[in-house]
Amino acid sequence: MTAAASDAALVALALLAPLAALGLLAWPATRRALPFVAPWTALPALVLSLTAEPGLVIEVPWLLLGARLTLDATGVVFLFLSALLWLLASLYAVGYVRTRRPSFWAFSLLAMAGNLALPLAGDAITFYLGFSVMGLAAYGLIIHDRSPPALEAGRLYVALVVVGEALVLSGLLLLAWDTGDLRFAGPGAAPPHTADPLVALLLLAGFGIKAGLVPLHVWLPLAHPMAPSPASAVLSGAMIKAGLLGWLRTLPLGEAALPTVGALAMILGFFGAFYGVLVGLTQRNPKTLLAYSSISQMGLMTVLVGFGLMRPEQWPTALVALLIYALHHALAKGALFLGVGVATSRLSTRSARAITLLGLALPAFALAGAPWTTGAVAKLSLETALAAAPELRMDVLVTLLSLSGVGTTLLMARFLVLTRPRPDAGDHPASPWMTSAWLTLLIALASVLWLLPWTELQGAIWSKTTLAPSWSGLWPLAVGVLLAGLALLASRAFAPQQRFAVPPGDLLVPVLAALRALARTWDGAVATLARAYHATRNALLANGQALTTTLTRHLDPAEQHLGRWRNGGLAFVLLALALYLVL
Amino acid sequence: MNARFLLPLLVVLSSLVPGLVIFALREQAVRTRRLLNMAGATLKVALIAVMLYGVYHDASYETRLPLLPGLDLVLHATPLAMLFVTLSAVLWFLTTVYAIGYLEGSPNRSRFFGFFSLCVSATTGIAMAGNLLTFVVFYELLTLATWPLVVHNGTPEALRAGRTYLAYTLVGGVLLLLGAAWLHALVGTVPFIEGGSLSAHPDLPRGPLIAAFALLVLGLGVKASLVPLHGWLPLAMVAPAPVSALLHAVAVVKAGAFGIVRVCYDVYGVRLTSELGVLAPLALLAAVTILYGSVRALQQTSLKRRLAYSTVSQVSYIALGVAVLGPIATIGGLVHIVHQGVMKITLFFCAGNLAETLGVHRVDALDGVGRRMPLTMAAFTVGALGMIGVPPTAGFISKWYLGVGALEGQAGWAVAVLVVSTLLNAAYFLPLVYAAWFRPPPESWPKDRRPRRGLEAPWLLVGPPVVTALIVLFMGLFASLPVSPLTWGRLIAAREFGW
Repeated sequence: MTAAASDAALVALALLAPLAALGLLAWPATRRALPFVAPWTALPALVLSLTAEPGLVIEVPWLLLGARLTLDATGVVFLFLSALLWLLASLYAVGYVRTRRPSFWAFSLLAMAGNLALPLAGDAITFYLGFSVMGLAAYGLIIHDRSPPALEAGRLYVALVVVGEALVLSGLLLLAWDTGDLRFAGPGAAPPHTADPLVALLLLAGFGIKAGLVPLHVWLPLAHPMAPSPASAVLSGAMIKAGLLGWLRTLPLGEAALPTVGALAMILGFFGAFYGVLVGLTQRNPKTLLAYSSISQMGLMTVLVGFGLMRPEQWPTALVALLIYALHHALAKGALFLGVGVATSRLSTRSARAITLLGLALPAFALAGAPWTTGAVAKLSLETALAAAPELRMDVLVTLLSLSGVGTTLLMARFLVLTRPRPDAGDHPASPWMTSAWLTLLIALASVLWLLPWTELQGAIWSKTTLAPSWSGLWPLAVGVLLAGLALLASRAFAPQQRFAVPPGDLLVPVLAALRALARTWDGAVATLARAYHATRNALLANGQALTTTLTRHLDPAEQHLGRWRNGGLAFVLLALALYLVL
Repeated sequence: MNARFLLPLLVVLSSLVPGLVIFALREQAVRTRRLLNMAGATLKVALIAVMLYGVYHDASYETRLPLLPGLDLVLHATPLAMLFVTLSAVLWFLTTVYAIGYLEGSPNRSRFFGFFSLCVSATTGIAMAGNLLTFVVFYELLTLATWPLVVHNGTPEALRAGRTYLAYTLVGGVLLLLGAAWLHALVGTVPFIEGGSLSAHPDLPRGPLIAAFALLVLGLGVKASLVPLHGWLPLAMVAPAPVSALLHAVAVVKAGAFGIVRVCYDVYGVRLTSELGVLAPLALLAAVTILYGSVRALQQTSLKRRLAYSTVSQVSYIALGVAVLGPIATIGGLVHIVHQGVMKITLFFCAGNLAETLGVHRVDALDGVGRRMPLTMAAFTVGALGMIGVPPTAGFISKWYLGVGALEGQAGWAVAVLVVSTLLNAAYFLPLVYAAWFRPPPESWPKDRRPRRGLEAPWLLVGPPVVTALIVLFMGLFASLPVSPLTWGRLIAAREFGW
């Protein structure tokens, strides 16, 4: 087989393996084999991301409206992070998920199939297909335990998914009409971009729902923590990135300047970066805290996207920074969520608890941007990218970025305090599936940037960063740790009686209250209208009654007679024939 | 007399003749009736397959029978005719299978299947009608053949629905006839010609043309259930499930929509309709119907009524596609004739299964039915997602073409209508899917007719919805294959716009 043919086979395998595994659901006997088959269906995609030749283009003219599958420099990073997270989270789930297994694997496989299709999608329709399948299937993961709060979170999630799809669809329709071509990349494709701000806004909002863009983030802190830990890991690590990838594919990044939309994205991004941290700090559930951290981190990535919309000529550097950041966040956040599951299992020995805490600390420090971690590299490349446009006062923004680093450090400190393994926690011991999958992810996190096979990113990393910690990278961490220590001491000293906590979903709470009030008013108005309508109708009917009765008296016997016909049809046909002959 | 002449006629006769024979059968002759039904349905599909192959390769099939001097009964297999006739033949086949299972052991089956066959004969006649007169004849025949099916149960409610149905459709028929006669007085015979037969008469007066258009569209709009002419449709859902299925997917409602397509493209033609400015009111009417139907569907608690209002809304996608000028919107409208049909018949089959097997009729009684009837509810889910327009279902293809077409036709507002309709569709279908799969089932069902062994219900009832659900997925996933409705839609649009 030639290289291209084997790549094509691998692409087909990557896309179809999760769907094929769904077939195991058909019989009770094969259902039991699901846990041992399902995780490995992410493997072809992982192999593909590590071995495929760059610039792969496969045309599938008979699929959908003519599909194109591609693997470019952007797609390969997203494929790698998604496939790795799905593989490890699924292996983890083999030991973690004890209830409703068929349901879990069905939705998990569907969501995986949709998610893995996204980086490979070379046209808007295929992308939208993967996006929808992933979005709807994730519902089943969120409501996995069927508890009332999970169902409530699921309802909110589905509502926003549907709204998001509608926004994305409108955006893609406009895009399709403006550009006449829906292919993202590859030969013969004019990139499907248009500098229409309306299109950009629709897509920013539509994909923003998935990416946790404030103020469309409200579902995320409710839904992400509700899923079982491995599902939370892929939701917050991989699926959240689908929104980001959607932006990268459809916005005119690096081609046209959209200053207003770009500025809006940057403002919302920065706002989200701080807002996520502040609200997250008040949370008591570690998974909710992590969800808010995701909102904050996605905010920083949104800043880069906004920057790219404002400064097309700076986009190549910004894109590299974004790819590094996405990869870093996916692995770190995935490791944190998987770690929560391990930390809340029964860890009977002191050493097991110590090792677990250490394992939690690694991704937490990475997220805080500690030296020698992916976080430090990601933060530095982000700063470098932004600092490249001094006339936009990006130096101020870089300071803001550092401040958000302080915030993230505090948030992670709080996370470690909340999640530290306790001797009395958990009913089940952590299964070997869980610990080994988590450990693998930690190793991947620690080594990923140094082992990546993609030269483009490698070059960018080594040219801009050194292993030696820099002052600009270090001070936010130091300040954050200091503040966290002070806070811990203060809480010991004062033991505050009342805790301040923002309910998960924050903005949603007042919005829902307002909506309910509105609905009550509306119902009242409708009831009044309905009463008036019925009164009028009854008055009219009373008059019409006499007429109707007369008509009925004549028509009913005729109809009943017809109804009694056994072979009424014959007469009907004879009549029709007679008519025809006479005519 | 050759095959080219005979084939269209044979297609109509393949259901007409079995239908007539069935009327003469004794009620107890179950096996003979079944054989006749299935033989007719199979033969029709086979004949149409032959014609499809021919038409795809540019062959032409036409039956012309003299009716009066200067008035011919013409059946003509154009690509547009083939689109509709294939839909009706395939769905008739599946519905026959379903009806055999559904009506097992119930009375008056000879009457039912006789009229059922007549109904399909009329529909195929409507599909292949080569001129306006032939169309009107079969259209009226359809009205009459459907009435006994609507009132089949003989309950007071059914009789009332039948009365409303007749009142609406007969008035609609009169309007249609008036419009047709007017055009006849203006130009003589009105054949259906791609690009519009009226375009051959350049100097016609505007006023009468617009008036005749209004009469024709209003007359057809009754069956197509355009608001405010839709009142009969939600009542008619008292008919047995196979009848509702056929009524909503192929026969009556679709005949109206198909008629609008014929009048706009093959009688008036694209150029004339845009010159006369008659499309804007039609687009408005369609948009109002789409939204109104969806809002009303949301309010219904009876499953079949909800589906009925959903039809009101969805069939107007076709009218919208016609009313927005441009080839892309045309393709969207045309493929939706097929897509809506297959999706809606799936949903009605499933609703029938729930009613027949479990006695579930209301949307709030669906809790946990997915556990009890997984295949049925899987099919229902596919149909519902199709109605919402989630890829890779067929509904997405329709919506995509309608959306891009709306932008092409400078009607950006229509995209908003489509999006709002999408949201409403999600609002009234997703809760049903949720209840069926995720809510715990009740202690017991109102009734439970589980076969002793094997499937969740008799295979005659489970098979058809599963097949149609697979077709829904197939039409979406493989929309670019030569056999797909989309390819035919493109072919037809290319001819109508004279590419």
